[in-house]
Amino acid sequence: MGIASGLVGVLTVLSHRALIVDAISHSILPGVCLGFIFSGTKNPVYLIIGGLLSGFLSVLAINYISQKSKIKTDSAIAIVSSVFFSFGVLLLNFIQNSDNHNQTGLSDFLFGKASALLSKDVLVYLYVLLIVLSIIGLTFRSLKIYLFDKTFASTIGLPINFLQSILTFCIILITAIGVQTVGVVLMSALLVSPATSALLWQNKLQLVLLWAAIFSSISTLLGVVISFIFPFFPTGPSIVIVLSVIAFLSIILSKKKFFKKKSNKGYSFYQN
Amino acid sequence: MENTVLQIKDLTVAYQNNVVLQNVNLSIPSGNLVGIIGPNGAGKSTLLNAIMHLIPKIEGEVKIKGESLKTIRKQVAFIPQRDSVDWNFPISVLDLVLMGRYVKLPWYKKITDLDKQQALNCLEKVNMLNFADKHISELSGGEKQRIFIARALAQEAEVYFFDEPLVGIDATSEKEIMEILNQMKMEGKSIFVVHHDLQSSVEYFDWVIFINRKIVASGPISSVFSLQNLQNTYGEAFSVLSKINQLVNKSQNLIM
Repeated sequence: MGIASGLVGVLTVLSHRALIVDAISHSILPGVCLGFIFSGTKNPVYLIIGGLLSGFLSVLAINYISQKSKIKTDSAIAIVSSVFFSFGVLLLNFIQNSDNHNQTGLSDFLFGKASALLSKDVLVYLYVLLIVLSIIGLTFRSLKIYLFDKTFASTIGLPINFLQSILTFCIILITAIGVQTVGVVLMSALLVSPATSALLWQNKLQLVLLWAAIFSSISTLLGVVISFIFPFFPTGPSIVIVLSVIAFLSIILSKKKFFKKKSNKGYSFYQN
Repeated sequence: MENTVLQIKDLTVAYQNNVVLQNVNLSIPSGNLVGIIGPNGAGKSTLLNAIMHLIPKIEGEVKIKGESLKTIRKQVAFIPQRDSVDWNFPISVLDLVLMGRYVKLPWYKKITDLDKQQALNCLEKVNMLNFADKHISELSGGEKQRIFIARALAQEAEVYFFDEPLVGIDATSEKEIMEILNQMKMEGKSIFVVHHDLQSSVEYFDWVIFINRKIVASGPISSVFSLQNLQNTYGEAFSVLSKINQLVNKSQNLIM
């Protein structure tokens, strides 16, 4: 789980779409709730399918709004994610007030609870990791070109739309299952934070991916252990705290400049 | 005509309801270093984008060496504007040039040592061999442009389209880049360059396309570089400017 989110996180950050993760994770809540209402169980497969569907719906809505109207993408993301999230919270309250005894634990989707995971869930994570690994492995070269230079990718005839969809699919998939561990609110940290830390250390895409996966799995592991030892610590925040410590250390210790260089425009102005 | 490299018939391009290029008709013989010149917003980059199918056209037909882009894509290289990519992206200079080689490879084949050698050769041609292992963010504007050219060279194309390669580049780099382009022309390649600076274009190109929402003139530089064509391209402002220029020259003569 940690590995997969680290990998997809790098792709997300490099495609400048970190914001959309937040939108997707918020939009997944109503899907999960509907999945629960229709299936009546907490079987992760139903919940993930529900989450995937509403995640896709939110991305479609965001794309539609930002392309067809004068509303900019960032506003569209804010609108769509809050609409989906409030709908999700309504459904969650509805479920909690119903008599279904299975519902206990569903509210963990807000902040996550990995330590209460069943072995069935672990298997799902494994499958997802395999899917993500094989997608990245098979399309690595094309993805690299696409992420770096879309114009060039298009002129040499790469299937731009296909790559874009595959990337979106990975993001939604990872978010849909990650939400169960770290919760809706902190999901974007799980994707973005290891990637940005890794980018501070490494200059080669393969190595950035590797480091992000390592950072991400270390913090997922530590976070789960912490919340296991102290039951009153929810998993999501524990993981994110560990991630943030890593990110903070990376900023201080890595040789790469974190802060933007002071612009030398003023200087050249006097030169002219 | 057999040696026509670019043939455009009745091309019209629009962004939403705003027609940017209308009724473009062009026929350019191969083996030339062609400058595409016009004021801001004249549609120079739009013309390239339309040729490369990066934006949809309303109507018209574009043929490269008598074929459509789809069938001849491997012989065509496009060099985007430098600012269009994220230079903090985690790849080395050599990685970037190798991207040019991917054009030749099917997606399931690995990069061979031969490809690497070819990429290094291309870096050498643009005098950037020492930079191969550097990260791309460490380069200056001129160096970034040169590795973009190296990537295009690695594609081993016949026709090259450059979108504003000389913008924001110091004079020395500009000279070097033009030398590289001339070298490519010597090897029989056809090169199209979107260029903004009127003055230097006289010495750089041997064929010029004047453009301002439509084609004003197209031909060998000696036959189309006339005051009339410049006025038609740049509008009335140009004649005023040239008058000022004459006045300044006169006054300088008086002082001396």
